[in-house]
Amino acid sequence: MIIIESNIYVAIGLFGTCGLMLLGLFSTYPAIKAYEKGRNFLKWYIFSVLLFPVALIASFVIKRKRKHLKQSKHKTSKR
Amino acid sequence: MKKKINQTVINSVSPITEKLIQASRMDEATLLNEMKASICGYSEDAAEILRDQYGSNEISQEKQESLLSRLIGAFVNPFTIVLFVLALISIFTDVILVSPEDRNYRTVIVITLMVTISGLLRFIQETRSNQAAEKLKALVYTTAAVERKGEGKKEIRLSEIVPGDIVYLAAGDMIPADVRIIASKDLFISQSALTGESEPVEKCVTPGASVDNPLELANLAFMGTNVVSGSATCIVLATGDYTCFGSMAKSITGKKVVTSFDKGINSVSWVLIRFMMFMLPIVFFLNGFTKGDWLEAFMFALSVAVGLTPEMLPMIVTTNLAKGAVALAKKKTVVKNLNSIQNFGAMDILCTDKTGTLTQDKVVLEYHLDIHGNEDERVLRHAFLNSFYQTGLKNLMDVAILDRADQEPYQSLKQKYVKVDEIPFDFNRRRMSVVIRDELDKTQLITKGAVEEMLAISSHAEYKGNVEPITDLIRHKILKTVKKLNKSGMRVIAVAQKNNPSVESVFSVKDETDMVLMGYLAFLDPPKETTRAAIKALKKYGVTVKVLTGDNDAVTQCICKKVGLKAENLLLGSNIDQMDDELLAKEVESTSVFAKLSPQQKTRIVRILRKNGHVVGFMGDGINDAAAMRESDVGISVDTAVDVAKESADIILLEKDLMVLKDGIIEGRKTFGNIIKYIKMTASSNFGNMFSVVAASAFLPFLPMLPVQIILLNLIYDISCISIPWDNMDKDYLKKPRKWDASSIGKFMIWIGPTSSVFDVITFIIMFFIICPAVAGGAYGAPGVDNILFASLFNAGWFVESLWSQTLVIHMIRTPKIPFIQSRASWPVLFTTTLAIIIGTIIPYSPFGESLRMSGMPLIYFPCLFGMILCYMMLATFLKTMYRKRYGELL
Repeated sequence: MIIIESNIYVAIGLFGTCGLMLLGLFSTYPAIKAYEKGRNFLKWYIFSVLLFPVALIASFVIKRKRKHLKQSKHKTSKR
Repeated sequence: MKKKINQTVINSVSPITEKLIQASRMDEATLLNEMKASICGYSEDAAEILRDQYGSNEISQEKQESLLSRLIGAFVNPFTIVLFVLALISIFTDVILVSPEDRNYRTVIVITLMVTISGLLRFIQETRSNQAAEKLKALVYTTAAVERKGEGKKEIRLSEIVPGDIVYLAAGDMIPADVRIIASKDLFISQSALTGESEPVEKCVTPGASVDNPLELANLAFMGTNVVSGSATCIVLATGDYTCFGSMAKSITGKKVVTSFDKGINSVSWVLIRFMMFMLPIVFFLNGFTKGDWLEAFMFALSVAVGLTPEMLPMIVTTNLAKGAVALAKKKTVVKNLNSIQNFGAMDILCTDKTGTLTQDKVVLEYHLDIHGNEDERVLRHAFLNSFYQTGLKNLMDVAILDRADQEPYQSLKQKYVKVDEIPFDFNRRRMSVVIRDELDKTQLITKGAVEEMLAISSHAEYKGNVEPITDLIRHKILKTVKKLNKSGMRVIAVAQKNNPSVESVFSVKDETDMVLMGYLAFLDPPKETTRAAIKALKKYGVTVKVLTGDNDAVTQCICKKVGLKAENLLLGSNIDQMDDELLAKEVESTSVFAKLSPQQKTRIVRILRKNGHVVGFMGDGINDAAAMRESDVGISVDTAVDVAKESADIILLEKDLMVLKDGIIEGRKTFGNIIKYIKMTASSNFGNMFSVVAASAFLPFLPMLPVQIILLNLIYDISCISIPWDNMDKDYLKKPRKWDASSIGKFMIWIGPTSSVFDVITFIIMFFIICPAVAGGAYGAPGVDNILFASLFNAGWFVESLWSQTLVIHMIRTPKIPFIQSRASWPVLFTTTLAIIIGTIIPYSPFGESLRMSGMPLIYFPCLFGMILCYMMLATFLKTMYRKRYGELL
């Protein structure tokens, strides 16, 4: 059982830090998804940190960039 | 530039300059008298006495560091200094400033124990590494030919040479000490090690113009330089520290080129130290303001700083490299320069000379032919006289000629002729001559060398029993015959002679004209049995082999085909000279075989390949390979190579088996992998801890861990890392060349570091709001709650969790695969990490833990810990996958 009592400041600080850290770590997922589809990783990472649920859905929905598609096809045919 | 270097030389060596200048101006007899020496050399006993007097012929800087200085070095580092400060403060706060009944020596004892353990560990590990490296170095040594009374010419180690010794020099030799030349023949010396001047300097018995700088005196030669061509007899003037090289050693070694590896290690250390410098004030002020105890805040900040200092990095790097060198030594490969192991693993292009490296070091004389291609005994006879009487460097072909003519009628020729003079070999003429006189006083110049060069100096040929002028038709026939022999893989040299050349006893290159070409010698130079397999194996491991040889294109193509190298696209030295660097930079990428190269052209190719971003190895065994070896990232030679090649090499192969190159590359990649593993682990772990410490300092009402606890945690973690050099690397990791990339460390740190911080903060939450209140009887600060017990329990909880996560990160980071299931660490790593976890977990329950103000956690803590560790490993695996998708690979 969690006992907080008068330690509100500690609770806000620790829970807040933990949440922010987890958000920071999981935000890499949509950013990587978008990166694999030819998008800028850093921009998508910032987008994910700010609006994680939207970025997550968007990273699944967006289409692969044509230039990137060609490159991946070329790589596959080379193999 | 040259002037500037020369001035440095004069300044550095001024105390001995006078002595050298005086010696250069004395005549031979006076000098010998002055040195109390004799042209017959010292006896072994006399040399021994002089060695006791002057010491061994070694530079102090190359001598081993003393036991005491190594012991001091092991104990004086940021880690022990901070521990010492902590102990000092503890003496005041726990012993001096308290009443006798409250005196507590425990902290002081604990800290002293920790200093002793960490210092001794470092000392033992570094001593073992150094001893291993020294033992390996001792396997390869250079010798010099000296005159010993009663024994004649004798090869001794350079370190055994004493002032007054008579030394014989030949092409390829290192100058063993500062010497005065008393006899010489076409002697050219490279003084680049002392003056920076790349062109060889001609030396002779006369001092030349009167100058202040001994390096410009033509009859002096200096330690650290080497003979490019010619031969000489010299008297040793000074040895060891008393030489010019010895007195300049500090300035010369101070200018040692910093490799990308050194730079990388330094940059990582500085990134971590900058973190520490940034963290120190933040942690200090945060804790000072929130907790009010400024002394404790200072001690805590100091301890955090120690935790963030990569104090074990030098030891881990040295141990890794030494361990790699010892592993290679078992495969008969000596690593002279430890750092080169890493370059071995990073190498993606191996340039190699052909003769003696790709081919066997035993050349066989197959044919001795007249210019029509018929066997002719006279050709062999003249070749024998040339090879027998030459005093310079006997190459593989000389040895083959002497082997072939080891019986009559050749052996009796030694009695029929006396040697008059000699014109030594050099790489521009590509030929050498001897002048001999027979019993009838007839003198004869016999020259042997590369066919093109011999044709250029021959005006006549022995053609169908007659001596006829060389016409275009004869020249065409000769070249056709030679090409045919070359195409069948034979190396061909020509032999020519000339009767009664010029005025006796003064012979020079100018006499090598109007000669009569007698015929050719065709040598079989078969590839080593292991060459083909080795080249195939190197290709498999991502290393491209390029052949850089002075030999002609036809023989080179033939050998290359035999060993499985594509030789259709071949570049000649003459082609290369016509190309500018830009064009050559493109050509070197698509060309695998380069023939008819001069030493300068070899060096240029290596330099351009490096400029193109490759890590280049160069394997060679001749004088003409030394410069290219120095230019490369890793110079490889063989034990039978000439002195200057061995001195220029970083790695020496003691056996002919080229497969050892593959083993070396794997060992290099393993070593690099284990170093980078430790660096990335430490960097990311420290970066993560920074977040945890800042969060704890900002939000917690007490210190999350006491200073002495942080130091202990750091010590246990460091000990668990000692086994990393013995860890395995995944097979996939070893298949590609591994190049140092400092930027990847920063990226890795930012990605992986915060993972452990999340679980540190979760531990804070669990300890502060669940476990500690349950044990201490309520929330922190609430009435009736034991706040000291609360804090000590919290400290112990984070101590154990931090140790578990820090130790397990070793297993997480060492492989991109799933740890323990898809890839398992080596037994030493498993043992030390498990032991660290066990010891760390027991400590809070022991009297020792109690003395460090830790309390044992209740049982409920452990299911929470296991759950957190499981989640931590899952999150780390998730981030590892993301990282690999972004950057391609983990380490």
